[in-house]
Amino acid sequence: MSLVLEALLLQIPSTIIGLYVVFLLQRRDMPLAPAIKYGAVLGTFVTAFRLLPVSFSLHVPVVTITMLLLARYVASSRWSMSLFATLVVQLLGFTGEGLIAMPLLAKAGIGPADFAASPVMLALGGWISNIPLLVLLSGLLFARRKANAVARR
Amino acid sequence: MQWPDANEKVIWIACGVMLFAWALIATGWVGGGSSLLNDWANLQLGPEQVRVAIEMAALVFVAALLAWMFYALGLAELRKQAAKELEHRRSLEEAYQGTLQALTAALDLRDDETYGHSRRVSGYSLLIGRRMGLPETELQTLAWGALLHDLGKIGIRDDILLKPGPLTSEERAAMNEHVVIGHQLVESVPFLARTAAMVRHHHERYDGTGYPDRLTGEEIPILARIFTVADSFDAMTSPRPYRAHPRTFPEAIEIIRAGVGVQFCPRVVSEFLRVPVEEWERIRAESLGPVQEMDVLVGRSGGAPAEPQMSLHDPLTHTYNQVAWEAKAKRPAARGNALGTIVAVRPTGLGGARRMHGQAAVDRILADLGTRLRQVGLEVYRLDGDQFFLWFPAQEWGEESDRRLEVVLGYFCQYWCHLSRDLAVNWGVAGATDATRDLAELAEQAVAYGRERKAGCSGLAGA
Repeated sequence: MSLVLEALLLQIPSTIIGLYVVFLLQRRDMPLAPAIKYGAVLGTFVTAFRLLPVSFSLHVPVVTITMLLLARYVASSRWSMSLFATLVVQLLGFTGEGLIAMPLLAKAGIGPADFAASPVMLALGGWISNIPLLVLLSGLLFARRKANAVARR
Repeated sequence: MQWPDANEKVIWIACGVMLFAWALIATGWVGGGSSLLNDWANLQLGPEQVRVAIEMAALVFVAALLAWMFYALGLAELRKQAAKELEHRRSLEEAYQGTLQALTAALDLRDDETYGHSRRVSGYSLLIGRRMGLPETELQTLAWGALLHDLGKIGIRDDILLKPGPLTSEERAAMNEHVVIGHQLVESVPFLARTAAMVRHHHERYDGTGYPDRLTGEEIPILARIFTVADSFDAMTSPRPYRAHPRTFPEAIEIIRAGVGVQFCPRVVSEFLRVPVEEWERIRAESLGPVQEMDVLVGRSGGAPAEPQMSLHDPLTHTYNQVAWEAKAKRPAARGNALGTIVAVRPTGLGGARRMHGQAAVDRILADLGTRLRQVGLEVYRLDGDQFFLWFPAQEWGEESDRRLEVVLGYFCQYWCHLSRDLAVNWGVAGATDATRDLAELAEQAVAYGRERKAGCSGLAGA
């Protein structure tokens, strides 16, 4: 049950946002629908993948490669740009975890045991880590809106 | 819609920076000896681990920032290049447009058809083309081809091109060569080469009886088939020297419908028939305004009165000026120039208004006269300060126009007589029913007749 909650509260929406940012970095008119479709599948897959008896962080390269392929073929982008966008999204995730979530939670005295116990806490930590990604997403959406307004003029 | 693409090399460098940072962290070279792959599973969130995590994240952040800088630098360079290219393309497009207009103007000065015709046909063709779902590049070719369709007439001898009567079979054959000449001309200009097929085949007929290649049905390029319908439609609905009254839009549409499969492509006509008459009228109205100057130069009037333009324009009265009149008068009588009526109008008694109220008052009077005359005639010219000529093409002058002018001039005098009791307008009419009359001679006659008819503050006088 906690896995389902984790997937619904954190993994799936985070993957959708990450994928949408990757797509938006390729094409500014990219619709949200493909990101939702592929993001939901990928988010579910990641949650399931982490149950496997493999190294904890092995899901990171798997997700990166999947996102790279999706950017290349769904957004019809170049390999270089697909890789660039995927790396930016992944590294922003790490930055969020290391520079924002971890210090904040450590200061609040929340340990890993608390995370494991509650999917809601896990989701909370995850969303704090997503802050840099959300900032980039807002920037991209704002830039798209501005570009569209200029194009309509 | 793409973001402006940064330089490919720069993106790869940016990716390399990020991957390198990632590799450093993952293999434990940075982050206090911890390896992401091995240690994260057992991560204990003590002060040391938090320090390691912050250190790793800071490295990632710096790497991402560096990568982003590389990307942005490449992007800025590319944007500069794109802006330059855009400017270059705009100036090229302006040059193309100028060349096209010059070509069309040169053609229209020789040919009897008006520049308005080219503009209208271009508009009609585009309307049909859009409804048929042609892509934008094809539509542009269609528009340019429509403007240039008769370019080859430049190569036809004057005695054939300007012959007022019917052509002999040899002359007809020579005339038909204009499509081949036009094809050769546009083919040699790179930016016009796409219109070559359309220029060559715009006289082909759907049943194969056209020229020059006697193509049938779908063998005729689609742009040429669209153009044929638009051209015939405009020819029927526009005034011509040999036809006093053009056909109405519904009449012309019926004729086009009757020509399906014989002269016209059924697919094109089926789209053509779906266009409401208001759309045709809109395009016709749009094509009138800015082309009046060209119409004056070639001595034709295209319909509703419009403001003359630029150097042919009298800024005070908003009528055509002496230059325009001289250009018109030079035009050969053989091209229907003298088949029409001239009305000479000259206000008198302006001296009194000038003495009493100054030149500004006289200017206001003349400006008002110009405005009122433009309500009566399609082409109004102002010469020698206060001499006005109105030109009416064949059969457009009649009792109705005469009465209207009389009323307009009567009102004009009554309106302004408070500035000068002597204000009056002399006006005379001279018309030609054969094409041999010289325009200047006709104008002199109108001025002479003008001494006999007069409208003034006290009413009308004269014959």
